[in-house]
Amino acid sequence: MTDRRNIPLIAGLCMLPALVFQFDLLPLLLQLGLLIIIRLLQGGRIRVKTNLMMIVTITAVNLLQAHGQVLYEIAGFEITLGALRIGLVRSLKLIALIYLSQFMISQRPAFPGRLGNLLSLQFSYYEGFLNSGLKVNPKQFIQRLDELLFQLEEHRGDPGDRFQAAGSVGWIPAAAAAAAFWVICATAPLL
Amino acid sequence: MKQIMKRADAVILIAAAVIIGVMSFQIYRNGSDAALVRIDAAGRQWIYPVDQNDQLFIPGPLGHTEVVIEDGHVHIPDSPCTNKICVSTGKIQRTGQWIICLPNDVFVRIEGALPEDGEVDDVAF
Amino acid sequence: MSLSSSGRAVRIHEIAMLGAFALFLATVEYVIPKPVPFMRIGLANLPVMIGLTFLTTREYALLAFLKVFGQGIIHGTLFSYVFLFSLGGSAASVVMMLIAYRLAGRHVTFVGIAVIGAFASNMAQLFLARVFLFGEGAWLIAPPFLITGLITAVVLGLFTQQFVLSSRWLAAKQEGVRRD
Repeated sequence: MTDRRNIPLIAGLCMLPALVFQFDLLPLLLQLGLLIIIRLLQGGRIRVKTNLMMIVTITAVNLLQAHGQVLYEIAGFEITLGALRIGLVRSLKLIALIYLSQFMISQRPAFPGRLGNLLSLQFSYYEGFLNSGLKVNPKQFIQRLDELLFQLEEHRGDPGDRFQAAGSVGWIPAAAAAAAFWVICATAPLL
Repeated sequence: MKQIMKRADAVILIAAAVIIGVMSFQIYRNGSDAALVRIDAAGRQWIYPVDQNDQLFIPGPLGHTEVVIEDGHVHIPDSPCTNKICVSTGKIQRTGQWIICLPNDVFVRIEGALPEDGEVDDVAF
Repeated sequence: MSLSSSGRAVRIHEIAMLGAFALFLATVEYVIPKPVPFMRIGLANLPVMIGLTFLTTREYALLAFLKVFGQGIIHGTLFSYVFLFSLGGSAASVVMMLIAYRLAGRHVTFVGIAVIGAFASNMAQLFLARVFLFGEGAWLIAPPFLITGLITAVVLGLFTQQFVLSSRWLAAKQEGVRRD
């Protein structure tokens, strides 16, 4: 497991509990901020619209169960502080987990064993599908799919892992990121 | 000879539709029946589900009145008032029951989830 | 390369191809705009249902593994709740579809199988959504979630049935099974 490709995976595993067991809004926001910075440093994209939609949807559903001080009342429906908090924490944590998870596999870690090999083989066929230009909704989809399946079968490629990895991560920055994550956690009560 | 749909498919489809229908009816009819604890104090208002245990400190003019929600019951174990009527009221658990602490301006009552004048549709879809 | 520790060799290329097809469809579904981010069409179930027709139970389980893990890796959700939803939903639907196909495959087409799979998957996901995302409010989104799931399952089932009836590739695979 000393493979450089596994550095983000290991660092991420260290960071995971600090995120999963985070139920306070402010430290969670700081952790999310850190993860967004890491993602941007690695050259990834931040999908603002998707994230906002997730926050709004999850928070809205959580507001249905009133909890805590009543903030506003709109058409007989009361928005409560506690429910708002719970909704925001749940949605922001989900987004943070997705970014953390993307960081962890950003170097395409080598999964060990036969199942790891099977996954690699799957990815090489996946590339075949991506490169085939198969559109989901054309006419005669079934025939085209059929032809493609025969075609892919003929080109039983080597199970190479040809994914381009995001910007490489060294041990030191990865450790620093993990440490920062726990510092945020530890200092949260002081904030 | 295989066909696109068989009788068993129709049975499965109808069964799924019926299950979803019954569930939806249950959810929108009874789903919001869970009782709530509504607390008014010094012009502010709090709402909590009665089925989730909680310990609350509600601020009033004299200080914090402690409200405990436990196993579907609500009671006030302590309040910074002199007469302690609210404490001696004991536990309440049914919709419509209430506890009041006049000196500290805290009013606790249990009610259904639906606002009296509202409809389910206002809340959900 | 063989995955089998004993007995018959596992057809890894067929499994990997169907797994890759599931990934491809999952990617397609990922970019299709949806009114609600949690709405699922379940396109990735097409290869799983195709697999039902000629894979052994063991191979089918490997395909299910590839579907769930490959998806988690490609979309980078392997260590988040999203993966848990995917895992829970897929596990429930894969098992239910297998049982339905083995018990009633003669009497049921893929429309019925898809409906059973979608229902199992959606119930599992609702349960997980209640725990992790929505709280009790999850039940309020259950009806629209289940209804859209039912409709997309029927469409997907009809398509799968068409494919299964007309695919030459699949016919070749099934022929291979019979020759053994």
